Amino acid sequence: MTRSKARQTKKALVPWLFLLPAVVFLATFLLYPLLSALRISFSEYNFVYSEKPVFNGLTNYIELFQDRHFMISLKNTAYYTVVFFPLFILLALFLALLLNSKIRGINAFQAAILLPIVVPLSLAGVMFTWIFSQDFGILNHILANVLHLPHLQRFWLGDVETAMNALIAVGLWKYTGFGIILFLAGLKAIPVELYEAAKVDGVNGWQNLIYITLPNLKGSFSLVGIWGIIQAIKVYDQVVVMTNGGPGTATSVLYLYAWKNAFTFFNMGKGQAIAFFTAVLAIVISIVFQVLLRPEKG
Amino acid sequence: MSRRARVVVALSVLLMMLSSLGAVSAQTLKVTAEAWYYNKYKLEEAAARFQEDHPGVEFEWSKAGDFEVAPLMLAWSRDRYVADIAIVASPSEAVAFQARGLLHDFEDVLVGKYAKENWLEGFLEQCTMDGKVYAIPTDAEVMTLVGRRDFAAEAGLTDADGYIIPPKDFDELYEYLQKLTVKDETGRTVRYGMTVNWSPEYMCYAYFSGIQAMRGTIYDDEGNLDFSSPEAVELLRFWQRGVDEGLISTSSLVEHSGPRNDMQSGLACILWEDHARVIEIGHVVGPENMQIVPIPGSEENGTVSYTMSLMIPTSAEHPELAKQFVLEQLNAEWFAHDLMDRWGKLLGLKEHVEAKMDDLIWKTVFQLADNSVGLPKTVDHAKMVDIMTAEIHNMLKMQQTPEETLARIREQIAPLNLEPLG
Repeated sequence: MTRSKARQTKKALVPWLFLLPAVVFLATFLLYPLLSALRISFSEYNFVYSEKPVFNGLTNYIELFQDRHFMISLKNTAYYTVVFFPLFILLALFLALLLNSKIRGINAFQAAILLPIVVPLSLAGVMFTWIFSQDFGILNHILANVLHLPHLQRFWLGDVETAMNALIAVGLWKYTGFGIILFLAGLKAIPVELYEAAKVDGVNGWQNLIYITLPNLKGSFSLVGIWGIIQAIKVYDQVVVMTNGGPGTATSVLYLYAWKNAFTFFNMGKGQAIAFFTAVLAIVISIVFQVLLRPEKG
Repeated sequence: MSRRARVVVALSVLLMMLSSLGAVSAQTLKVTAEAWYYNKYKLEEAAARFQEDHPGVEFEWSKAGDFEVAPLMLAWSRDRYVADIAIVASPSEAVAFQARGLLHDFEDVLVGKYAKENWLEGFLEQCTMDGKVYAIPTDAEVMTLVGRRDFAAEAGLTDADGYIIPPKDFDELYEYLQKLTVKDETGRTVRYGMTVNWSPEYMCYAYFSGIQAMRGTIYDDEGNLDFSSPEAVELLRFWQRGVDEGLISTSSLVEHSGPRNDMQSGLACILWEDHARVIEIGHVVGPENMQIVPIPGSEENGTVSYTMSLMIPTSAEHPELAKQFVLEQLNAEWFAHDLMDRWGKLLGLKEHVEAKMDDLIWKTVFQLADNSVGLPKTVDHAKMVDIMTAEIHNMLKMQQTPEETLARIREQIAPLNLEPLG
């Protein structure tokens, strides 16, 4: 009886022992910093002038909504997300459908579309800064001298009206490739028999798309959507490299403002509060999206 | 004692001897600086020269990102040894370090050749708190205008010797810009009269250099930083009108190197930035085409200067050796003149500039530096700069008037701690 119990205990312990290194690693390098940061977000802590964090409850979070710069950053992040997200989904889907069809030279297209994935966003930011440059940029050069549309020339990154849209364009350039991969995986998983049966029934290409392809891509939509939302809300890299939030506050976004508070103003408490607010925002919107796209029962 | 035990004891003794030998000979100076500093400053040559005078000293270099002071602050505040010498962006950051008592002062070594009176006063003052010098100025700069003599000659703005005639006031400067600006048939500017560095790094220097030149002080009548005087309105109006009429480039709104690029490519004729650009741009467009032009009023009222700082943290392992290196090599004549010749940057000792007074550029820089003021060191300096940048950028994008801009700045900086420290 005792031996059997010991064996059972040992059997139950073995999986935990295998898990232990991963658990210890995650707890040390992920959970502890996360909880520590969460604690600081509820504290008054300027790490230059404060001796140690002093608990101040929800003050940092409440004060965010009285901070004009924070509200502008929230609005800018919302704009980025609202414009980026549908364009990202539509572009990724359209190009995935294109790449899934039998076109000559498809491999070259695939390589061209997927190439941005391997380019670091910071590097792409530098590249696009020059492309969008008012006086030296190739975009304005093409508009004026190739297309003969000089009136369309802009200071793309320096104009309040175009700066954020230029950043969105860079985000799309960078991330659409990954969306395409996810959609392509979904497209490949749709049974060919469905299309064959539809063909027998005389279904045309458009009906194929509406009644077979799109409904069967619900899982992919959910995955691509959540990924896209997270990328949009946590936008940071290209903003820092290309505009640093300017001109004025036209492209200031939440994570940039969190970084500024933490590492420029040394206000770690407020910086962490913005970071957690942003993370919770991304999680909530992702859950809502997930619920909306949940497959119907029965 | 067994044979094995004797071997173990012998090896232990050997190891102890070796480690103690290492401890005696290893005097490694750790230096940390922003990455660009290594490209412009001949640090390794300075180290080699120092090693000749101090055999056995080794150097270890580490690079930080631009304006990345926070990691240093965190490490030092926990008494971690990461550097013997740190070179950071501005004395306002040194203030932050000093506020936590993280810096050694230089009082004991500022004697003889290095006595305080031998330094450019404005720069050393910026590195001083409560009467003690906590950093040594390096990469010191004076805010001024830098002009293209060739373009000015085309516009008839030069004297008989081909030098740009300094404008008497801002109205005359505006007329200069109108004459220097070139537009194409569609009305698009193809050459700007001026480019101003309004990036966050330069915003407050550009603004307060204008205020100092106009008023002779950067403070208002109540002793606060001036965001309310008629001169402040006039300065912002000058900038806004210049941008609106296509006379002033706005390239710096998103790129802090924009104005330098404008000048090097011939896209702009006058730069409002620091004096060092006169040398740097001269390397590209020809030194004979470059000239320093004082901001109107600055010859009488002065301008704003700023400096990076060499600091020695209290967590340094070799603070005395670090001080020796800072003074003997990083303030040596060869080091100073190399920097001046290649990059136009100043160190703090007067003698280095005085040795070059035959050159009109350095003569003008010396006069401006001697008559310049530093910005006050305050707890919330970075927040103030952030607010100024956002509001003045909005004004330059024609979203608000100069008066509204100043009112918004005043409103937002009201809760900040801008009391001068030390």
